[in-house]
Amino acid sequence: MIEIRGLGKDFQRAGESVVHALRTVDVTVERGEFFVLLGPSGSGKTTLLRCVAGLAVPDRGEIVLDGVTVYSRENRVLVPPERRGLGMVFQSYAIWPHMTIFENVALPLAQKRPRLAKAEIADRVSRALALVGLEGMERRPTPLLSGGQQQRVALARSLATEPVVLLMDEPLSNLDARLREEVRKEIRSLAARLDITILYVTHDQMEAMELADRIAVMHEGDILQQGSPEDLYCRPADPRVAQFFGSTNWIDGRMRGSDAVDTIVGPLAVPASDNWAAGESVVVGVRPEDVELTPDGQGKAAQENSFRGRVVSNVFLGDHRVYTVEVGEHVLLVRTLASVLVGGTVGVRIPRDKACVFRAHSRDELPPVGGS
Amino acid sequence: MYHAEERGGEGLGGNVGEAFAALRSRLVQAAERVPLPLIAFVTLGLVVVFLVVIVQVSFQVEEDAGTVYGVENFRQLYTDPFTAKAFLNTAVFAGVALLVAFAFAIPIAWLAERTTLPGRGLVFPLLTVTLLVPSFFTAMGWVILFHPRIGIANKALVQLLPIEQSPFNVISLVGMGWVEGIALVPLAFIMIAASFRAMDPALEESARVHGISFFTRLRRITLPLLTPGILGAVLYVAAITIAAFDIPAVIGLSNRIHTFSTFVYTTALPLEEVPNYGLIGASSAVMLLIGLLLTWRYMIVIGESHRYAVVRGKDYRANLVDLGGWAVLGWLIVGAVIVFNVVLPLLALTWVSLIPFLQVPSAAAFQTVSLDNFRAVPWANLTVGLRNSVILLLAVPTLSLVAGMAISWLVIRSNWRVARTLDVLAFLPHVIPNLIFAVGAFLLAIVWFPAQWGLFERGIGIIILVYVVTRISFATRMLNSGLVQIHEELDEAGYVAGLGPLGVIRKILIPLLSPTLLYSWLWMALLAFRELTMAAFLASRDNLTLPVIIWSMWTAGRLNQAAATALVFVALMTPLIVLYYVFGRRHIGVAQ
Repeated sequence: MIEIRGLGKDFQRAGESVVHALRTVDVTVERGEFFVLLGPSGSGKTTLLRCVAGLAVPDRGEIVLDGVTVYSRENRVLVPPERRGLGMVFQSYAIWPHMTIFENVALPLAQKRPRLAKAEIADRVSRALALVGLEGMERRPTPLLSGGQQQRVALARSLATEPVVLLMDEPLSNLDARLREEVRKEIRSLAARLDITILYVTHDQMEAMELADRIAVMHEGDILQQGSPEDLYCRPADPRVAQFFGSTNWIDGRMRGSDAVDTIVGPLAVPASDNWAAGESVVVGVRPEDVELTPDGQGKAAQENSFRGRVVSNVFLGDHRVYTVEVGEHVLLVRTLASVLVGGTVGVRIPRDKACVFRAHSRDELPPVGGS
Repeated sequence: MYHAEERGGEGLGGNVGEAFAALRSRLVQAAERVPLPLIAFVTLGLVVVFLVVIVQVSFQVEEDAGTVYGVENFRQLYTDPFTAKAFLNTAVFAGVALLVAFAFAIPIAWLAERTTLPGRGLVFPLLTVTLLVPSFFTAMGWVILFHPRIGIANKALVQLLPIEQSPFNVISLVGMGWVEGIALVPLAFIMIAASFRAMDPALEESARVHGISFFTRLRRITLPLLTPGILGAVLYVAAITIAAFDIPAVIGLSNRIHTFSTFVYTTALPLEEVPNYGLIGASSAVMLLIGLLLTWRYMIVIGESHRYAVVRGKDYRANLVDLGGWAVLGWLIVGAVIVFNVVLPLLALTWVSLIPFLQVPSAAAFQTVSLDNFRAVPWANLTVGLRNSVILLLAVPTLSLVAGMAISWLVIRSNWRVARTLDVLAFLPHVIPNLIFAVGAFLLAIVWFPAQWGLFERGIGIIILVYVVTRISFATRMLNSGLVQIHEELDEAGYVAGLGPLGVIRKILIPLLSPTLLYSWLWMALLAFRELTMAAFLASRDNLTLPVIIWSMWTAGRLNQAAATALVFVALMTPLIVLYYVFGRRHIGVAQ
């Protein structure tokens, strides 16, 4: 449905070096798929969305929408946004303030060629408004609507033409927390009901995980990894992906064979892989909730990947606790329900299948450990 | 911009219907994208052409063998004592005018922005409306009152006071400078008030908290912080003054006191000899250079003003100084400006329009009061003038806004590299005196086009063009700031909805900009209606406007008739000013 091949875009600021907003991006979104572009601000996700919409013009590559090439550098094709037949929900909602709700939703319909009859337009507007729960509000002026209502009008406007592709640019970021959750559920159910292809941009990984069939994690104009939410969370291909989905403990080490790492906390068994040569410098990532903690002496002795550590501090967060545990020279974050004494000695175990191994140099690009 | 092609990779082998549909959709796309750059280029092209022709003509020397290029004109300009005198006069005239304008404007700005002056909210609209009163009207009033020989106020003073001679002489450089200065107070005030408003009140408050007294604060904090703003205003007003035409034309021209503008006028349209176009070009080029130098300084000053960091978007207002009884003095100063600009001239012209010759009001004089002057007005001529003025009033603001919209849209909304240059070009008429553009158009019509084409004789087309070109900076400043305030996603939602650029402008931007458009339209309509300078330079038999007709009656010595006609003119203008005041009130002040 959406095929993006080798897409790149550079910004040249006067007197500064070139910024690669998009390097070489390849994405394929299937019909009916809910695809989320996830990344921090400046990662290029919005630029990519705007290139698909036609609001930004790429410098290289190709975009095909529903079998129609809308951009191709090579063939010098550039279809302007008004001829791409898309729906789009903007971050600011972009509700035209001089028009009523009806006029807002009707305008895209009135641009359709061949022209739609007046009655047809009115009918479609009503249907679109019913879809988002705004039936009967056609004549309302728009400036007095609440944020949530504006959001619904924007959604209705973008759905009224029954586009094959719906683009959404951080549509929830201007709503307060509770409303955000509510609208998120509605978008999810709308997407399921309408069988529409959605390309959705957000910087919120929870939002992405809840909504997406597939996610592409973007960083500095590149896609680091694409896959289902589960793939990305459980099998990150890049330490930055792992970091993006929550804080991670990083342990430096050197490969011993294909399934073990000599680390500063001791030898660590990891899933076997052919990717690594013996002696190669690597970094092992373990999520705080995957680390097992046992009051000393109660666990079985000499289990695989078991160490002894000292509890340094403890933060109570309601449904769980986060402990800081010193293992030798190294400090690990552990997220658990268990209760242990600060200052006491504990048993720490890292399950083999939860340890992710990455090449060591990629460690340099990581933000410091910590955070949520 | 877009090199748009629809589904370009395919379609060549398709059937005729498809090919036709593809062609049509391409044409539609082109029709959406071509007009804006086209309008922008034509308008700004004119700006450049008007200036280029001046420079070109300034180097053209007529010799027996034909036209050659050289610096002869500049040499003549430099050596001719008459020219030197005109330039010297201009300097004195401008100096006095600036002194007068700012001596009033700075205190009034302070009164309006920083004190508890009762009714200070009225100062801004009152002075803005004063700005619209044509300065030729004001100048006529001053001549009638303070002409050294026949001025009725002078005569009355001689009768009343134990003096032998007329106490005031407005027919002098200082007199002209005074009237010009008074007429420029509103403009200077608007600029300085803006600086006051942009100043962070916390800077003054912190001085106050630290125990610094009122006058020390004024001297050490407020004024230094305002310096760039005041300096910028001075440079801007100076550029206007040195090329001012209305007042020197009404007061000085018939009395052979020439400033730059009237010098160029008499050189361009001499009564006897053949006009010396080279000399006009050279003197205009010198003026253009002086104007650009002033502008350059102005830009540097404005550019540096950020160092003083006076611009803060805070909502709270400065602590206002309680004037107490001094408020009366405050209103006296504001009132003086209005009286000098509007009330005195209005009274003088009304009186003179009712009597057969200039005389001090007396029982005998009242015997001669009649409407004869109004009856003697050549109404047939006036009707033609009115028609021309109304055409200008309707066409100039409309065309300026169309052109302004095209330019501003390109500047603000497209990421086209050329757009920045367009913005600079559109700013030029703001800093280059209108007079220069009028000279440019004049020379263009005469030097570039064959005389038999008679561009002048062909109605008011050329006047409309010059007016539009000089208004383009105002139109684009207004529309730029209007467009910046409209969230770009509103446009983008329009594109995604299937509108092209023109569709977005028509359906989204114009409705959202309508208050700005209405206000700007009215303002430019009023300025076009009262404009004398450019219309006088480009006058011919068929394109006379009302101000030109009044002014030619005046220079022909028919003072009473001119006064009567001027009153009719101001009466025609009044409903427009009221309309402007009602619709534009919210916007007054944003304009400058």
